[in-house]
Amino acid sequence: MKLRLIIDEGDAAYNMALDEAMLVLRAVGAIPDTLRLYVFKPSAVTIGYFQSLSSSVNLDYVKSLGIDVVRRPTGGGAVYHDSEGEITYSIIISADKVPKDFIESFRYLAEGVIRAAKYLGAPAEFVPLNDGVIAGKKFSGQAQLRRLGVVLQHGTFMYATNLDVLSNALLSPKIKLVSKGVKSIRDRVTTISEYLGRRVSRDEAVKALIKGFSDALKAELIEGSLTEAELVLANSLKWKYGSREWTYLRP
Amino acid sequence: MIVKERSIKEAGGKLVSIRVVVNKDGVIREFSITGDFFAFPPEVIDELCSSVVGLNVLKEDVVRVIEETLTRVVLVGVSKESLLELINSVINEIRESCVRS
Repeated sequence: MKLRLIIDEGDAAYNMALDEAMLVLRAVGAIPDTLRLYVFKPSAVTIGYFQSLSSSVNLDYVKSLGIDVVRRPTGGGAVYHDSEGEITYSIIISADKVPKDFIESFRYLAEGVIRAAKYLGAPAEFVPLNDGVIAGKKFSGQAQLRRLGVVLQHGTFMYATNLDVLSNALLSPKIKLVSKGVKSIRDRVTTISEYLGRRVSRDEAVKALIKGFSDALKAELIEGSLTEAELVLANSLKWKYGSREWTYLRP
Repeated sequence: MIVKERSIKEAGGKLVSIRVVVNKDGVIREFSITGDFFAFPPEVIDELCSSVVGLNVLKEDVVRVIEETLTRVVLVGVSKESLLELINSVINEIRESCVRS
């Protein structure tokens, strides 16, 4: 298979708007199957479509650090995207190329992240429903949306995320920590750098992800650029992701 | 107003919280389902929540309405049975509170 590769960065509203724009434009055949690797600038927290904002994010804390908050179009949990330590991927691909079963498709599309971690030297594995895990600790989470025969899966790759900021920014209800058998969020997350005991650079992480996804999906990645249609549609969807109504949809 | 909230998280599953607000006559004013689960397509959950607002828990079979809407969605991270059981228990509790007050 062939995949267009886009390397990108932007703020949280832009990133979510572009993911949605690409899903729509893929559905009408205006763009090819695509892997986008991107960085959130500034750092941001994204929350799942169904999450209550105030019960998932420490709003005072993130505000004090200038961290953006945006609601995703996809389900799943709250995630911290560290500008200096996390790369997000999104895959926009025709649904007939991935397993129909949702959990199997999470696993299939997350394999690129798992392999990237392995190339860097960390023994990563996929743990259902949607986690990438190293030695029992999460370094990657995936979320997915399907529309009009197209799958959008996006997920995180924490190569050097500041985990103290992460665990202060995200709130986890007691019921969830108890079920995971941990005391705090800090106990259940890790990064590639933390595991290896050395600082992995962004360049290394990007290279590992490109190799990881191309091997996992047996895909030829062809670096390209965004079309005008993607930029125009993303720009017009940005108002939604940046709006108070959307962010506070479930206060 | 009567407000009831309850959450579940099954082993290997996701968090699901239900919040229901009912007036003294039993009419649902607010109904929300939140959590880190997945629903395909997601908007069916929004539709489900708004479709029960205005229903009377003392006179109408709210759970049945929800059960029907749920046939149009695939849930990942929680089973439909557990979600319905959770909703059913919250609605029953509200009914008892309405009858008592």
